[in-house]
Amino acid sequence: MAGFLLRRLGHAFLVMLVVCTVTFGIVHAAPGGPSLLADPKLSIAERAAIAERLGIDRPVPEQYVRWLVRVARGDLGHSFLYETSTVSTIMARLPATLLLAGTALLLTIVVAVPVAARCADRPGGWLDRIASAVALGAISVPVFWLGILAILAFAVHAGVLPAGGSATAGGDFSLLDRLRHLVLPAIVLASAGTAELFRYTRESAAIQRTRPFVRTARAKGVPESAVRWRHAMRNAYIPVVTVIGLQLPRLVGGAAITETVFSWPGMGRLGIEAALARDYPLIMGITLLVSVGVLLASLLVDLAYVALDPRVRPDA
Amino acid sequence: MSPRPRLQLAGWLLALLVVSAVVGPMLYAVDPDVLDFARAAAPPGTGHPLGTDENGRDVLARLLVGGRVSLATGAAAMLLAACLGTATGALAALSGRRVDALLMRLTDAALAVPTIFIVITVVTFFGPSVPTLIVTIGATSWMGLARLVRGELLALREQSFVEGAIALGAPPLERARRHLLPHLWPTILVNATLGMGSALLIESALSFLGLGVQPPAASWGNMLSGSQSSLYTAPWLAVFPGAMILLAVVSINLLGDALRDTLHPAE
Amino acid sequence: MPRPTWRLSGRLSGRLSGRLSGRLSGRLSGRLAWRDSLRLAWHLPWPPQWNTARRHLPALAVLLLAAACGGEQQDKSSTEAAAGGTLRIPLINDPIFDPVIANDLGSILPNKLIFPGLVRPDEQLRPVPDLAESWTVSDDGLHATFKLRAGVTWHDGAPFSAEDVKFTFDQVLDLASGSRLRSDFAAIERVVVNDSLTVTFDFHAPFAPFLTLLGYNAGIIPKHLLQGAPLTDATDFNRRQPVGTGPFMVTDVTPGASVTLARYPRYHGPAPKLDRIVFKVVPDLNAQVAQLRAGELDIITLEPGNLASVQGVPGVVVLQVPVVQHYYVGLNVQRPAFRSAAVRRALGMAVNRQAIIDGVLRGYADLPRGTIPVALADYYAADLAPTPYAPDSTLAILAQAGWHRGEGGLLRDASGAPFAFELLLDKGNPTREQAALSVQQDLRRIGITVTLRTMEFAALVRDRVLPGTFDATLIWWTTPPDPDQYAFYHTGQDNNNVRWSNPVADSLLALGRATLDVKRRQAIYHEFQRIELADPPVMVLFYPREIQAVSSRLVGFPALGIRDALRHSERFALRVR
Repeated sequence: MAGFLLRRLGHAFLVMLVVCTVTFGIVHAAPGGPSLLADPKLSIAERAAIAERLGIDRPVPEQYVRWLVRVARGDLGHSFLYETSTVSTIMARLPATLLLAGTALLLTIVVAVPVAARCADRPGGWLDRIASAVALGAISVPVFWLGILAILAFAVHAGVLPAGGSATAGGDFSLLDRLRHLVLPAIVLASAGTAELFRYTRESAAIQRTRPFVRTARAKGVPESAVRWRHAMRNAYIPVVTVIGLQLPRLVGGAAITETVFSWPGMGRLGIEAALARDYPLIMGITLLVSVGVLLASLLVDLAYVALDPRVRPDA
Repeated sequence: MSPRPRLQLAGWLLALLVVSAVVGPMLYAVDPDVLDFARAAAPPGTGHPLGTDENGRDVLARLLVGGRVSLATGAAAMLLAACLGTATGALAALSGRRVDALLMRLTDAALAVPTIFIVITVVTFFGPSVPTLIVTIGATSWMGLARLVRGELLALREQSFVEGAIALGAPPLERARRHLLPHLWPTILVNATLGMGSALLIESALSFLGLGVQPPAASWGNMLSGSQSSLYTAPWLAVFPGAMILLAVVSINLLGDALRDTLHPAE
Repeated sequence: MPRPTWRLSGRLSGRLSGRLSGRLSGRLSGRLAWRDSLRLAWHLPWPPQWNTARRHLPALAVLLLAAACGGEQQDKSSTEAAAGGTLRIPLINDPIFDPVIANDLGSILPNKLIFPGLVRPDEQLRPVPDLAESWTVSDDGLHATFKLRAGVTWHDGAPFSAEDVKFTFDQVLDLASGSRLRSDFAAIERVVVNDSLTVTFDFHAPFAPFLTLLGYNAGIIPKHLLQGAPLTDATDFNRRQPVGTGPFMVTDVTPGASVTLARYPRYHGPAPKLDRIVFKVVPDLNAQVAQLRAGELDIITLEPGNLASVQGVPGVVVLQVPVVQHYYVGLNVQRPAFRSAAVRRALGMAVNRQAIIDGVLRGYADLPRGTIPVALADYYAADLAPTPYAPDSTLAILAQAGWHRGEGGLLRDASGAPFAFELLLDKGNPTREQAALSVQQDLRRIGITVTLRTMEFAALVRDRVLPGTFDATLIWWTTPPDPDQYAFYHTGQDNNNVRWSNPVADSLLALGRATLDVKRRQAIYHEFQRIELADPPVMVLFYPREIQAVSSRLVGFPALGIRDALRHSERFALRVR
């Protein structure tokens, strides 16, 4: 087990190096430079002074090595845009994104898995047909559009939920207020993932249910619910866990759009802002952080395999 | 529905969309770019079958031309992703362990970065043109297929007919084309079909951020995004492009599902 | 030198891209870009001239679009404004609380309330006392002495004094401080403290725009809290707990979400009626509209393209105020085709500006004469006739310049080369894109082929406009409310992007910025505008107006651009529903 972990961590480290090198290369190879330098009022000397202060006057490989050295010391540099440390800028926005993405992931799992298990009971039944059709729609609709329609319906017309933000601006803390702000963005962000997880789980459960050991269990008189959860679904969980693992990066990406639609003060919106302003340190910082998170999550997914399926041995 | 009628339904729907995008602008010869502020945001009917947008441009004409742009962008991005994915997967499976490890780490890396975020970064840096969109969407959508192709090839390699071909001394490329590729088609086809649906959605998300196909050129994504400012006064401007995207992606997904059920590619 | 700013953006504005961006500052630019891509509108134009509103009341002033607004807005019977309440205003980015180093839009609005300057613009946009009680300018124009108000305290209780003023302007002028105001005040030689409440500015040369600029963005910052460390460091002061002398102080900052300001109880002036002002960070203009309609925001600024979404909405009033901007097509005078003033004049006559204003700007703009906008009523030459729209008569002018219509109606020179050029514009702003399309269609009609090319704003400025490697570009300047345009149109200036050169204009521009007497300045700038008609430096398309969508609960909001209106926070209040 320790060997497995070490090897996986080694891989993760290599992957991180690839991610950083490629992202750094793309960001710096692109024409133009930080928007800081686009001010038409700047003289050539002022421009050069800014480039020097930001360290972007040096050759890209040298900048990259300097950046790596600083990262090794835990320093991600200063955001061009905010002129604050990249780490503190990201950390100020991270909790909002974790809350939103975490809620969405939770919603995804608690909705998709039970519904899929029930649908797999009676493939072609009314629940299955409705759920499958809704799921097909949910993976086929642009997320931002869903968000705008939700705001229109629930905030502007019905007036029952807020149109944006994560809390009433300037208000005192109130749990109810926070929850009210969370409802629409979490559902919108969860929609595509829920649909996708539903489709996989249903498929996977339907296959399991036709397998001999399930038929055997049923023939032995094991109650239907026990057949469903203990026998069929247990094996169906493995692809389900894979799908959840694959959804994490998309959840963060989807959060960027959802956060923009709902003015949610999260990291995804910060990332879009950084990309548009060509804020190199902030782009690199967010990419690094998200990738580390995704890699850790996929490590967890692998560990979950081991827990779920005795046939998967870590040393294999 | 069983696979066959589903396949037919999806096929017909998609064919209809493609034909209308290809032939439509020729049959409906209204210039999609002419501004006419006097007739801005006219409702459907009134001389314009689907009304006009906030600049007085004919919505039907833009929908047809925009379909061309959107479907072509989606198809091209999907083709690129399929080629990249198949090539990477095949190279990894058929080359030595080192190449395999390197390519798989690269794949992991690409999977670890949230796709849309990288796309936004690249498109911002290189400017949102159709070629940029195709390349970036394609270049960030190949990883799933690469893994599937590699897995399938590793499994196939063990099989006797391949071993036989090796024993007969068939050159590697020839081997891959004659003996391996045919077995990969179902996987590639299903994956690419579903990939085209997500490419359409990515284009519309980028349009929302102002990074999709740029006006005055029309795409379904930028028409939908552009309709936001008229949402309260001219909702049909949002309905038509929204319905086209939904219809296209639904039929693409249906087709992908049906193909999968018909061809049974490896999961 | 006055500092012009470019407003980038907006396409959106900006949504994402900052559009924002202005060329205000780098930081700004980035932000703008964000806005742009998001299609936010250009939100916060520079101050409009109130004067104009007075003089052109029917046309320009505060047009309450009563008919379109359901008649709710001026319901006098219930106009009793209650004291108290919270006003909610959107920002497109997190602010930096320091008027010296931050000139992005997100920072400027809150800083107006926290950091007052020595003077503020009144409704004629003329400087009136704020932190300064009175002032005198020497006859030679080289010294200005300000008597400061007594009894003013910083939000932490410390007394305000002349040392703070000197400290602020020393930082403004220091190249290394990160100051964004330096070019505005480069004429200052030094600042001298006479006593704790008297301060004198010495100038290198007489500088007419000085008082206007003092009331523009030059907020005073506290020496006792800021000396000794670089202003650009991120500190608690400039991110969370700024200390100013203004009517409102910051009580809470939630990054990415909101900034809450509460009334400062010991404010030296008339107490504001509002209890609190909350700035919500909402970068997306369409999201701002939704929140205004849902009652979560009280005032937003719009692009013409978004007007329909707020017109006729119960509880929302649409207002407009002129702003000091001119949008233009810059024709590069270094290109042989544009060297002749007659050709540039002819192109101007071929473009139907009124159609652009009516169609693209939905009427929310003014027909231009020269580069000095109508918002500068003291200096705008209202008696000059605007360039007529006369496409037919351009052909004779162009024929004299050697361009004749040939095959397919295209204009060609003697060698048969067609009259064709490339028009650059930034991506993502529907207003500018449509204006460019209109120009293209109009010029095609007289046989000139225009190719449109959109570019990211930063790349457009850096790679094409600044180096002068363009044929034509559709762009704009936003300036302080002063007619000085030395930096844009004087020969050899860095920002004279079209490389226009007219010796008479040069001497007028130089004279105008050194002349303190208003009457003489008026004559100078009227003459300048006359020259512009004969030898147009750029093809001015329109003077935009700031469009505000305001909750009908808000009363007493001055008819000024939102930035300047916030300097009068004691005047507005929220009505109880």
